[in-house]
Amino acid sequence: MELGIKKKHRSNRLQTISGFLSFVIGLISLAGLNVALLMKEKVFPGMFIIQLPMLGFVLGMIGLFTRRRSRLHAVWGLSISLFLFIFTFLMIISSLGINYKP
Amino acid sequence: MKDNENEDYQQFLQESLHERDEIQPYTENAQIEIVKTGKSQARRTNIMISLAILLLIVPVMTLATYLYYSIGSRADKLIDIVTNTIYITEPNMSVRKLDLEEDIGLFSMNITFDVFKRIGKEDYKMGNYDVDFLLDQPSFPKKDLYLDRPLAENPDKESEFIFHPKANPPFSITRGMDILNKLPDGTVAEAYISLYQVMKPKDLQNILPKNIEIRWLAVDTGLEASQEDKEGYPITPIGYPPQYDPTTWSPFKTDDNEKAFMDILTELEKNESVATKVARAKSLSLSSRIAYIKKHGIHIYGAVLTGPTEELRKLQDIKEIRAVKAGEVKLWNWE
Amino acid sequence: MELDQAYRENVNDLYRYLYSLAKNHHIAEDLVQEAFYRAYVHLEDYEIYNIRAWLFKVAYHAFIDFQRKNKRLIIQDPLKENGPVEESPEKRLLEKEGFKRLLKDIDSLKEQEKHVLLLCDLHQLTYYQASEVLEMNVNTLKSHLHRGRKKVMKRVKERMRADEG
Repeated sequence: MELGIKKKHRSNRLQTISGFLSFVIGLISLAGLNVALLMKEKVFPGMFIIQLPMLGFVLGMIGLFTRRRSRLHAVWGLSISLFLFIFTFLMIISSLGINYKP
Repeated sequence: MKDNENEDYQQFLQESLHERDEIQPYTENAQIEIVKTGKSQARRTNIMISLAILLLIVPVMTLATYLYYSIGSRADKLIDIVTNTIYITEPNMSVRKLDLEEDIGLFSMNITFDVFKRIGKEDYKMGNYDVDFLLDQPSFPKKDLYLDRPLAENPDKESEFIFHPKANPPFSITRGMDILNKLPDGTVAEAYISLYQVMKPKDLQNILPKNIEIRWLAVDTGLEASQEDKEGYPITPIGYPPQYDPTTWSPFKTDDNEKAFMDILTELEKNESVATKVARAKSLSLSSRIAYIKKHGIHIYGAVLTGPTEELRKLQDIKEIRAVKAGEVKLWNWE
Repeated sequence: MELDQAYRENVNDLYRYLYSLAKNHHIAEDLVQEAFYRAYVHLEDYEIYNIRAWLFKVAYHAFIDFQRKNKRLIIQDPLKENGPVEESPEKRLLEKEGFKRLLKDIDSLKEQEKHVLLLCDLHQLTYYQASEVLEMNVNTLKSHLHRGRKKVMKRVKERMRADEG
């Protein structure tokens, strides 16, 4: 008796591509930020705290609109981008509050 | 009756389940594949999440540190305490806060700045300070001073340059004029004077020769006679610059330096442990000294002066001056 | 791998459970995959005493999440959605008249009673295991089960009487 389910037209993907990409971009941005922080760079590379997180944010939003697939990756990607925005914002604010020279 | 109903239900249920269980929705291979897919994807997800958490550690700690130092201007207050302590405890020394550099690490801050002395008409860079803070606790400053005649880093009764009328000056202090006498004309110098009597800051100007600038006044705080605090730790003079200081952000960029001095003392008292680390003396005893000044008013017993060496030599003829000690010497810059 | 083996033995059961909940082959299939994925993702978070009960718990939550995500979707008629031509376990399950009727009966129950009956009767979980899956007090669970069984029995009897009459 042939009882198997044929997986036609269906990949094994559980996550959306956009969610996955968002998560990966988030990780790359975080890695870049880590390097900048550990190397004590005075000027942060904007790519890792502005451009890439923006891309990750958009992809994460797209990844949220899924009914069938897991949103886990998209949620992580979004959270990391949001963290990076908040990080950048708070760092600027607090840097102005420390030994500020006009 | 009730048992019967239950039995009926169980029988009906078993029949239905039997029907259902005849069907195997997935083949052996499909089952393996589902479990395998779930496992490998879960592993990838878990690796990514672990990576994200690891990569968040440094940014979160950095941010926490910045917030710690910026909230309530904590860093600025610490910087003020350090620089003000120098104005109060180091005679004729000033700091250019505009050039102060801070560097924030994880839960720590490092500040570096240069210190200056006015010799004659010019400010000379006399060295630099490097202070590490762990949160709000400073380490002992790493000082790099290039002074010809530095004050002792571990002060005792013998080593100070300014003495209270009731204190016994060491024998060497009486020879202070020798250096000034041997210096060639055409130089400018710094001189530490001690008085026979305490007096009001304004009265000092009147007894001095014209061509001399007062750089710092040593204030009588009740502890200078014994030169130690209640526990017997040696103390050093505290005082303030009486002249208007045009340096940006100097606490003495004001017409009322006596008030600025008192404000600084009150502020330092609140953070005495930080100030004590920066000062040379092991004890500042600020509360008792503030109380003494409030009771008796600001009276001075010594001062640091600068001017042409010829003018400074005239100090030995002034009867109110008990002792003169020479400090730094520079080439002519008076006019 | 013992865990993989234990998981594998529950694949069919989980499909049946999720099919009873979703009443759609494709959704059930996705949810089975999702449940095993989640079971592995959260593996470290829980002490697993009973793998079967654990998997049902994960599957239950996968379904609840799916339901929440699709609240605004119009629920399609499960019999029409994929067309009858395709050979699927769904089709074969629905060929079994008795089982189909039972599912229909259970589906007419209140939400809580439905979940309890599916776990305790259709999948033979113990009261304790089912209460863990549904995060429900055991006594509450028993009373839901009792009421649910009574209602199902009433419907079955009504139908039998109708058939006879």
